[in-house]
Formats: sequence, C-alpha cells, structure tokens
Amino acid sequence: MSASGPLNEAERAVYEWQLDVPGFGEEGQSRLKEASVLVSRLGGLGGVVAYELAAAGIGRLVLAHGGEVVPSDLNRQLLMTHEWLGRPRIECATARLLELNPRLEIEALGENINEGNAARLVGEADVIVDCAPLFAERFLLNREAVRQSKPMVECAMYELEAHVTTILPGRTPCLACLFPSDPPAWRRKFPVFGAVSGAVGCLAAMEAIKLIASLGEPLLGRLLAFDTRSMAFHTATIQRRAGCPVCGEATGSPLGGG
Amino acid sequence: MKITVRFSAQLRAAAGEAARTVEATEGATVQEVIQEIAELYGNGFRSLLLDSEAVLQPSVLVFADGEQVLWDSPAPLRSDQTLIITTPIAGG
Repeated sequence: MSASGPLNEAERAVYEWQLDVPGFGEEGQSRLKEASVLVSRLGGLGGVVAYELAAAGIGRLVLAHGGEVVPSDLNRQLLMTHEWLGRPRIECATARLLELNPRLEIEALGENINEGNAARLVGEADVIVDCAPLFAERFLLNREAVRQSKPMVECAMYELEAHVTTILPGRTPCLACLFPSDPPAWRRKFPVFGAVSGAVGCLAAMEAIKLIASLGEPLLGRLLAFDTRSMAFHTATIQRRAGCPVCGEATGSPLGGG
Repeated sequence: MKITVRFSAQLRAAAGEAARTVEATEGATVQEVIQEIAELYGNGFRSLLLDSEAVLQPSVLVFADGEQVLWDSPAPLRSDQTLIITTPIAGG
C-alpha cells in the first residue's frame, strides 16, 4: 500500500460525516485515498461493493466484468440502468461510479477474471473483493491472492441467504480450504433478491474499508452467515484445511501483521 | 438426546424445510447424525450432502455451536445442540 497522502478541503467536505468515526479520522481517510481495490464482477454484489467504496473515498478501483447489460441484471445490479441495455456493463458501471465520485481513478476491464488477466489484476490491488458467481473464477482469484499474499474479501448469496468472510493468506482459511473442489450442484443462475446481494455487498465493502484503514475487527477466520427470511445472523469460526494445495505453504499477509 | 439440524442454501431447498430435530443416542457424533439426516429427504438431498461412500461432500460446511466441524475429526454431540449445514454459494 502507498504512503498516506493529505486530504484537501474538497475531500474533507465530502467525507466529514465519516471522518468523525472513532479510530478512523484523517489517517483512515488518507489510507482509503491511497488504496487500490480489485472488484471481480460488478453484479448484484460487486456493483454495491464498488459503489460503497467509491462513496467512501477509495482512491482507485480495478474492475473486471464482461458482457452487456441485459434486462435480468436490473433486479439487483444497481450500477446498471435501463438506459444502458445492450451496451457494455463495464462502461455503464464506470460512468455511474464517476458520477458519484469524479476523483476516483478506475482501471476498467470488460472481461471477467481468467487465466490471462488474474495475476496482473491482483498485482495492481491492495485488497481484492471476490463477487463472481462461478467457482472457476473464484478459485483463480483465490490462487492469485494467496500467491501474491493479498487480502481477499469473499462474499456470496443464495435466495434470501448470504455469507461473507475475509481471507488473509497464511493466517486464515483460503477459499480452497472452505471449498476444495468445484461444487457440482452449483448453477450459474440461482434465485436471489437484489436487497440480499446489496446487503452482503455493503458488508463486504465495510470489510475492505476495515482492512485498509486498520479499523475494527475484520472477519478473519470467521464466516458471517445471515438469512433474511428470519433476519438471523450468526458467525462461526472456520478452519484452514491441512495440506490445502493453495495456501498450505503460505504464511503471513501484508495487512494482517502475520 | 435431541439435536436440531438447520439446513442452509441448496440443502434447505432440497429438504423443503429449514430444520429438523432428531433423536440421537448418547455419545453420537456430528458425523453419525449427518449420515442419518441424509436419508430423510430423498436422493437429491442425499447427493448434495454425502458422496457415494457416505462421506460429507468436500465443499459442504458444518458448524456446531459456532465452530466449523471437519469430517475427519469425529465430534461428539451434546443434548439440545444445534448443527448448521450449508452448501457452497457464490456471488453474481
């Protein structure tokens, strides 16, 4: 992560409500300004993550999302709009984010995470937020995050339920510890409300902010699960898997002090 | 002793209910109760939960009292304990 830079008056005016958060202040805001976050896909989850990070004053977003806006995006993908139907999602998302925060620097790639781009995109970020629907993409991002020792926030949803956890390579379970193989029953299209993906997207954005600003206690080695049917939330400890082929040899992570 | 098992994500849909309370013998393990539960809802539910050798599918997560239970570490149950079992979910 780069050294913290001072805030200017315009930035103080925008962020004055959060500058008063105990333990955050100008130091925390400056850390956000100097930080770069990779968000993999900008759908119901990632779009909300990116929007909240843009609002919070993150300095740079690295965004990866392929395809064009289709009608079925619009129940949950809050960065996409009716006006942009048929046009590239990445361009729509970039435009929306810059409307909110014109100071934001964006590197936008109109494709999803793949073998050809994963190492470079992870290398450009201080923190990664994995919001992809396909486990092949998620495993690839996990592998690169562990290899480059980058913290990664994992978030997911299904129907009215959602999960979030934060991975510090070498200190916490990685995604392959939790899910050692591609789940055969998982399908690309699954039932979900936008309010559910949005809720977990906000939590994931908060995890990224906490990691960057050294604020509070990230979900390290813990999985937060919630069910909006009953509004039941629970947190459970999770374990590294002995002999994990991805993180078995990893120790420590730059933002975790490990 | 009574054990409550809560189902999450695809398991809940396959079971058609959110939870089931079962009667387990004293000294029963988490693994034994899961193998019993696997037979209650038909093949779709069973295949989400266990492989053909009645071993937990590798990406299914099991929690007891807020801690993950690994299949290879037999975990004794206590009366009135609640288990949570979830299949993997993703973003989108």
